[in-house]
Amino acid sequence: MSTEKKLKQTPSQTAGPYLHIGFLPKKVGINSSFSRELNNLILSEKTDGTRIEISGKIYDGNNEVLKDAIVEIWQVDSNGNYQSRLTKKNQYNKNFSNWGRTSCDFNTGLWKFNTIKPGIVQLNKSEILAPHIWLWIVARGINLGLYTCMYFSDENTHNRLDRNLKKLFNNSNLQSLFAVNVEKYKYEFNIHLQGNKETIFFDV
Amino acid sequence: MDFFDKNFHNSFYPIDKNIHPKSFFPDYKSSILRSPKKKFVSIDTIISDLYGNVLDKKDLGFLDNDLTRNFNKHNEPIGERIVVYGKLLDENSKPIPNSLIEIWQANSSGKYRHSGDTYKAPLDPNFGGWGRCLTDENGNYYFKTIKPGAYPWPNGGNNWRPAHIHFSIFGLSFLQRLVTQMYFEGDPLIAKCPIAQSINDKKALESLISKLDLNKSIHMDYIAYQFNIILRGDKSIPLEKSE
Repeated sequence: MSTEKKLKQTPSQTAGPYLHIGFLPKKVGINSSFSRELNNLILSEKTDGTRIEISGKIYDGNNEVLKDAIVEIWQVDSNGNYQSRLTKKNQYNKNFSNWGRTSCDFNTGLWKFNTIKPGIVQLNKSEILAPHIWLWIVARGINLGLYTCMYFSDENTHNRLDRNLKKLFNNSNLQSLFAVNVEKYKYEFNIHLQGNKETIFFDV
Repeated sequence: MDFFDKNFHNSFYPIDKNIHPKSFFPDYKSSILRSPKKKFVSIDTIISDLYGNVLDKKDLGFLDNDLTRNFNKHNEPIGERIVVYGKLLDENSKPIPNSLIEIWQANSSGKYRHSGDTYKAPLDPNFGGWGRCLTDENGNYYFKTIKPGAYPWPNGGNNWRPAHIHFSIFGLSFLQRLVTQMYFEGDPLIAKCPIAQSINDKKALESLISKLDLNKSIHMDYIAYQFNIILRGDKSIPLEKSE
C-alpha cells in the first residue's frame, strides 16, 4: 500500500432548482449546437431482453411530490453483465449503455424509464445479486446525491439469495426497496425521503 | 474471488463525510424536508465501474464547451468573458481521462434560462447557460463562458447566491458521480451563503473557489479561472487489462 498523502475529495453541493439546464437542456428550451442529449438513452431496438417500464414519484417529509428532481439509473444487461475495467472489449454490449437519465414531470412529479429487465448476477458458486436497478437522485435541497436500489417484488426466490438483501432482512424499511408489479412489464417504485416509509439509501 | 465477484466489488475509498455537506442543514431551508433521517446502509457489492459508455467523443458538438457561442443567436453574450479550466483527478492524484463534465449557470445578470426562475433580471438572447466536455487523456477540461451574476433566492431571508457555476461530473465509475458548484476567488457572498456554508470544513469549501489565473487568459478577450476537481480514488492496485 502506498503511504503517499491522498488528495481531499471535492465536496458536493446541491444541484439546485435549475438543474435541468445542465442535465436535460431541451426540457427547458435550450436547443444549442449539441447533437445528442442524454435523455433515456439506455436501450435501442437491438437490445436483448424483456422490455419493462419503471416509474415512480419521490416524496418529501410532508408527503409532497418532488417535481424538480433528476433520476439516473445504472443496471446490468439481461445477462447480468456490464462494462467495466474487467470486461474484455469484445464482451461489451454495444446495444445497451447500462445507464440512463430522466427527470420528474413538472406537473405530476412522475419519472419513468423504458429499459430491460436486468439479469441475475452470479457472484460465485453460491451467491447472487437478484435483478436490481441502482438509482441516483439529485434535486434542490439534496446536498449529496442519494443512492438507492430497486429490486423486483415478483423475484422472491432470487431476492432471498441476494448478497446485499440478505444483510437487510431485519431492516424495518426493507419493503421500500421492492418495486411493485402494477401490470405486466410495468413496475412502480416510489421513493420517500423521510417519514415512516423512508426509503433505504446506501452509503456506497 | 472469481471474475464476477471482483467485477462487483466496491474498491473505492469511502465518501469523506467530513468534507461533504450534511443532508440536513436547516440554514438551507430546502434541505429540511428533503434530507433522509435514517442512517445510510453500507454496501460493498455493487456495479462499480461505468466504463466510458455514457457519451462518446463523436456525440459532442464542437461548441459544447463554449458557452459564449453555443447558444449564440446573433451577437456575443453580455458579460465578462472567462475561461474555466482545470484537472480532474482522483484521491491518488491520478488523472481521470475521458470523463464527461456538464456545467450550467446563470447569465451575467444572475438569471437562469429556466421557467422556474422568477428573478427580474433579464435573459440574454445570446446565452443558454449549458455546456459539456470530456476530459482529455491527462484529465484536463476547458470551458469558455460568461461570468455568472449573483442573484437573490427564496430561503426565508435576505439571501444572495454568490456567483457560481454548477458542475456534474461522471468520473469512470457510478461511485464517483459528483454534483457540485464552483465559486470565484474574492467573492464576499460566499461567506454569507447557506448553501456554500453547508460545507463545514473550511479547506473543503476553499477547494470549490476557483483561482484567477492570468497566465491562461486569452489576450484582450477571456480572463481565466482555474478549478481542479478531485473524485474518490480506487484503493485497489490498478488491474492489468487481461490479455
